[in-house]
Amino acid sequence: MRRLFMLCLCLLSIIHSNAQSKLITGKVTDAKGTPVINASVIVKGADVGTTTNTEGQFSLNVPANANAIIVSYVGLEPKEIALQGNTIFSVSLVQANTNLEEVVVVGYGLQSARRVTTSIAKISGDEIRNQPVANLAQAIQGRVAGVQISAGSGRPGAPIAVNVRGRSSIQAGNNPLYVIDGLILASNNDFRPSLGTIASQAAAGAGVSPLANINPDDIESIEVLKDAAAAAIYGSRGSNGVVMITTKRGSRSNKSQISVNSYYGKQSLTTRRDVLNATEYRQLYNEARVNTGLTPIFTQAEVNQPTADVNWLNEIISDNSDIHNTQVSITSGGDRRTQIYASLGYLSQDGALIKGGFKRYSGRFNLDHSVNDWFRVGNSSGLSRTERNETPADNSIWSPFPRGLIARPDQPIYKADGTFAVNDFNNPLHMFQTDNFINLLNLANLFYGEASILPGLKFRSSLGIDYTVLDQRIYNPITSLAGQGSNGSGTAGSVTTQNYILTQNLGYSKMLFNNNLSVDATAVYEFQKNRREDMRVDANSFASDGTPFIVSAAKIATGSSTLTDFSISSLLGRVNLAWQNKYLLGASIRRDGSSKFPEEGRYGIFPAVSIGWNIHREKFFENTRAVSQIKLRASYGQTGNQEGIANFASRRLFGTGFNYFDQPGFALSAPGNPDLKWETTNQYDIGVDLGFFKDRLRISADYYRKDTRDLLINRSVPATSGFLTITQNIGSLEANGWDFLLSADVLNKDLQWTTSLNLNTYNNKVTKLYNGQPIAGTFATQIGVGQPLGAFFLIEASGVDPATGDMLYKDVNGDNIIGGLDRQYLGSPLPNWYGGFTNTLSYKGFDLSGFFQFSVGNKIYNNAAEGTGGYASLGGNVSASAPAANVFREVFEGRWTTANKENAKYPRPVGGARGAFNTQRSSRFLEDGSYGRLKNLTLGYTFSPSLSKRLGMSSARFYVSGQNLFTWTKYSGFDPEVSTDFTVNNAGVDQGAIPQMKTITVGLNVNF
Amino acid sequence: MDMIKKIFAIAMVLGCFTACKKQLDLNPTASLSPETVGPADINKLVTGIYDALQNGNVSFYYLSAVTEDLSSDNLRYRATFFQHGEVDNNAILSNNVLTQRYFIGPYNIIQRCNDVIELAQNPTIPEATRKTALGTAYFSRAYAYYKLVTLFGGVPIVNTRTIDFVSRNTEAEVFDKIVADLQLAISNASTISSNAYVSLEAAKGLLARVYLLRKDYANAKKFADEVIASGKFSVTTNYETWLNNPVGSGEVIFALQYTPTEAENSLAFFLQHPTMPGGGRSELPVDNSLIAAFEANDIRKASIVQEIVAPVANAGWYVKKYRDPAGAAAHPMFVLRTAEIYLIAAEAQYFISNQNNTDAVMLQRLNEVRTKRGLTALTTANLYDIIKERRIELAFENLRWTDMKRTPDQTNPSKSMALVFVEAKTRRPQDLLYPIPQQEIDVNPSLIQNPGY
Repeated sequence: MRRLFMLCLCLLSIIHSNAQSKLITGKVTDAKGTPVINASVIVKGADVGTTTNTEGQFSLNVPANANAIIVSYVGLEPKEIALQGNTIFSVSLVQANTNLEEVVVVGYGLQSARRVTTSIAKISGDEIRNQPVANLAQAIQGRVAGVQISAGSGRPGAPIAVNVRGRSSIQAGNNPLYVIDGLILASNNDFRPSLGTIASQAAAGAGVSPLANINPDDIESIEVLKDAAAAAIYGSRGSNGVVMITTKRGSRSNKSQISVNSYYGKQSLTTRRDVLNATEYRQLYNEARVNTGLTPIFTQAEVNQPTADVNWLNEIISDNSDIHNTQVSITSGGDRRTQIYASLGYLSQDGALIKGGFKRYSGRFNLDHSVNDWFRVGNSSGLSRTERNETPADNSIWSPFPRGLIARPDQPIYKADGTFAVNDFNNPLHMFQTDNFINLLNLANLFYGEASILPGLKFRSSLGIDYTVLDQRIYNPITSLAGQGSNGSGTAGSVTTQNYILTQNLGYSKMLFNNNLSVDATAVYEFQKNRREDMRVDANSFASDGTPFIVSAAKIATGSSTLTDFSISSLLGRVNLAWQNKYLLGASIRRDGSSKFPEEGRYGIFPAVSIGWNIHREKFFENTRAVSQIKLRASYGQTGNQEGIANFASRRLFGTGFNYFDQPGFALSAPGNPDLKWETTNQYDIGVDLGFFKDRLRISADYYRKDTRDLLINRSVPATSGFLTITQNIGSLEANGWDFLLSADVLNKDLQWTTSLNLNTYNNKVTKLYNGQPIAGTFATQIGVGQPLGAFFLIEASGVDPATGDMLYKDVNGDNIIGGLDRQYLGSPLPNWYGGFTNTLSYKGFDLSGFFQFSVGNKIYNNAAEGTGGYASLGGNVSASAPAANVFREVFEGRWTTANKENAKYPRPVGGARGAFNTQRSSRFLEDGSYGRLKNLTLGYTFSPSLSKRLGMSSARFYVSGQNLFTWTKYSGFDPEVSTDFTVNNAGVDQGAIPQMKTITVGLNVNF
Repeated sequence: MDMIKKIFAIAMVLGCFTACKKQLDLNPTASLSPETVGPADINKLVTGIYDALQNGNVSFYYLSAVTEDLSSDNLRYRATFFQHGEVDNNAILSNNVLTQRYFIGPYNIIQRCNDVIELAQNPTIPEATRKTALGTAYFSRAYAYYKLVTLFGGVPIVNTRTIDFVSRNTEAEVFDKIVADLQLAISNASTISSNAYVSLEAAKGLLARVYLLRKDYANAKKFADEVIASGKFSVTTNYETWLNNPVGSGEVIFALQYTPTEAENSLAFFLQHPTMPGGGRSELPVDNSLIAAFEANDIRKASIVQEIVAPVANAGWYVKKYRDPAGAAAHPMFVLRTAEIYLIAAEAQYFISNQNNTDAVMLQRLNEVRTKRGLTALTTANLYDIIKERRIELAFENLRWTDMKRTPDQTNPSKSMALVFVEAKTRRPQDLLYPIPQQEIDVNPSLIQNPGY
């Protein structure tokens, strides 16, 4: 801190005024005549300059020998003006004419796109508006080269897996860092509230995403910092990439505008699968019993006339449900001193099942105010609350959806007395009696002050607070499946996170050497503190279902509260140099100190360097008309990862809670590791940006290599030490890939056609683990040296034996026993390539856009189908007393029978040991997860200016849009996209997640 | 002038936020740093030892409290943890996650004891506090090694928490360590004030059990007699009363207590049938041979087992010794009971008297238990009468497998009861010992597996 202050003073002291000079004045405006504030005005060839004030005016003492000034502003074409003895100037700067001149957010500053030497992807807010999804990340899915996004579930507001250039960590987390208007979001922001005391319902599936609290309508742009040179500015948290979200702000130019956006839609499941009806089910059950050596359990009459015939899926799916969104926003305009953006938004989305609805209330108020010609203050403020009435759990084979697939169709929903009937596989409708309300309140506020100290030298100080309260209330009614044993049970709890961040930013930009060299330097001090408090009470024995709060419970079962915190203190510096905008050099360094690490090695240094060459600006290229841009880029950077490890993982600790006979006790519980440090990723990137035909065709290609070492892993230690695991930096990972982006304005006359395609590859390989020991996954995966992360490790199935109808497996070790020793690596959850393809056509007032998304070559393990109780079990769990689980009709119809031996796709229905053998975890359930999906198709009509004017509006657009309209896949489960989990161990393992929805919406965007 | 204003403004902003190095020095709020734990905390660390005896942070370790009954002929496996099935079949695989916890759990106890023994050297600790702490630590360490050596054979003896590759000690070395620790416990522990805690008598009782196992009958008898002579304990005629109120009962020398708040012991849930008070999951029903072993009029039968009659699903006999009608997972687990001491005395005397079937002292100790349990006093008794009495009286208290391993078979005395038992199931002599968990061998190459695994 003190160092920065000294730096300020030093910089100030070297400035001196020129004695022999004359005063010039002037005004800088943009093409529309609006004053340009903070434009840089410098004397060519001299160390003298100033910036324009809020009126766009400047006055400057220029040396007597000066002959020209240079006026520049980010995003506008700089202009050189000869003095020629004049003292009053009126300068008009024109907008940079192609989209390559746009400005990108680079972290702690802005940069002109043509000077960018790193790999940064940008999406404008317009591209993602109006999509009927609750989570922001879902809206950018498939639109960014090198970023793979998959929804973990069709639950509205569920977390989304976002992998920027793959997964570079095993246990320390793979989420990118999110930064909203400069406010770094808390890393512990993926809430997984616990669901109660019933072990089989322990977790609320994949959790709750705070990103769902952000209203996409408020977003101006999203930038993804992909390579290490870009992300290294975020140092120890940059390894998984950085997603920078910029919200809208008021405008100095234009008119004030009031916008109303609203859409309404209907949703249904993307796919339906048939399960057996009661008659077919009883036939299956009988067949399985006979094959198991038992007598049939139903007579033919009982098969033909079952007492009940329930389609459980129909009972729990909410088809034709609603989605509705409305937002009103005000963008101030025209005022040179004060700019305001304010909005109010409301989203209501029903769940795919009978519960699971989601509501969002959001408000935003962004203010910028110029106090005087050198001091500016502002505030970005977002307040939001989301409300969920969750399904009991998701992406677990114990949740209602997968239970609905296997529940017996011949057992009724209700008993004669109207109470819920028992189903051998849990009555799925009965499970929905449980209430699970989760609300997330978020207040994010960032206040800044910005002073222009000298021409080109700016100081900005900001203080941000991100305050999140999650409160959860579970109630299992007295008659519910989960609450009937305890006379009703309930949980109330909350998770509060406070995240403070202070940033001091000193920026300097100047043109030197006759305007040939542009210098852009930044020095930042940043301090972040995060504090998380959890509270929870469990109770049972409730007076009535009408009094579901803990106050009415007779027994308080357990209660607990915890607090934990971490802080990070950082210094960083960055210099970007450009010579004639031809030769570009960028270098940055960040030093992070984190409370998570022991004093020894607490500070880490993260350097990055990047170079670029705008070949098209060379003389020898001047006459090449077809080529409008050739830029070569190369970068190297080092980033870290410290998420996902406990705040005090490095410490040797005595844990509490080791009590006896209600007396408090403690004991040494964590060995500590004084050598603990962050994971380090070294990333190399080479890229090229090409533009042809005045940039109507643009191609961008990047190849990268990402090597991660010192992977943080909880390693097992000899139990004789009294400890079980120690967190250590062990293991390495190598990854590489291609990001490829092609976009073109194919037609740009009356009929306009733009197209954009991104194609990406990503491969990785584990190169080192502790003593080479593989790490087993929970289900079908294993992490092993030489294998991709999360590779499937399974017994290989070689089909159905036509002679017996049982499964055949490869006996790899030749011991005549099919078992764990026969497992081998059989594929990866990573696709060979993935990407998105967008086309937009517009003609007169009409616009039509289609967006496809695809993934090729990835494998999915269908965990909900496997096992003696899965939906492909074909009676695998049948015994003298145990009934068959229901199965997909397709599996039943393709089963082995004496009449269908050779072409049987599935084994015979059989229980007992053979049933367990046929349904055991093997490649039988490993499927091709490739898919293509028409993610969005929108047809819009913009009213002609004259019509909208007559209606009292400045513009109006009406549209019809379809989301997830078509999916092409061979995957036999419900949804190839959602069927993933976020942990590396469970990537590509489908536990029966609630699938995504197909949505048709109609909407209206009106501006006044 | 303008410049001065600017500098002033910036200096003010900077001055508001002075961050210093200390802000990175955070401390956890649910744990304590070793520097902050001192001699004054020794009682809390002793409580930590009791917690380790209960379960510690090794989940399911409490299931080890009936594993000897499951390996032997007292319990059988129905469903659902197949690892229990492996134990019941005497066909344990080295990757069995339950027996792995039975290995991990005792080391959790041992190392917490080591911590206390080390801290207790601090001279600022008052003498009485130190002696109680040491008594508890030495007793608990001995008990942990006892559980290890009886299931796994010779295991590593560890004195520090260093994470390194330790090798196995011999069975004899481990027993020597147990005896030495118990003698230290005896010299430190004070006489019993509550059977929820370690006492002088508990140390003597456990030492008697170990000497009996080592066939040092004179010492076994000596320490058993000392416990009886203390006059603090008795075998009573009302089995229900003490089972319902074990704390403070003279029937119990040391039992681990669980409270509803701690609720970390679901043993009853595994042992009971769902229809029994407190519920259950019918995981481990009672072996019918144990039911057949009850004599008529035995008051214990109604108290420790219950028959569930068809057509209720999974009919059969179930354990109700760990009853907890509230379902609060709060029933005690028995470490040492008075009746065992009488039976140790009887068995030791039987051998001291050169296997005299009518030795008066032997009969008196044995009949002290029998008559209180509603049975007739025997006038002649052999080893198998005593072993049978142990089987009934101490059923589901984790003693049967060791009894069967240390006792020659009645009809085939060259083999142990346990060996005859496993051979009848076509299992191997090597199955008498549990395998060292493969996971432990994976992380410690110095650990050698038991033969046959």
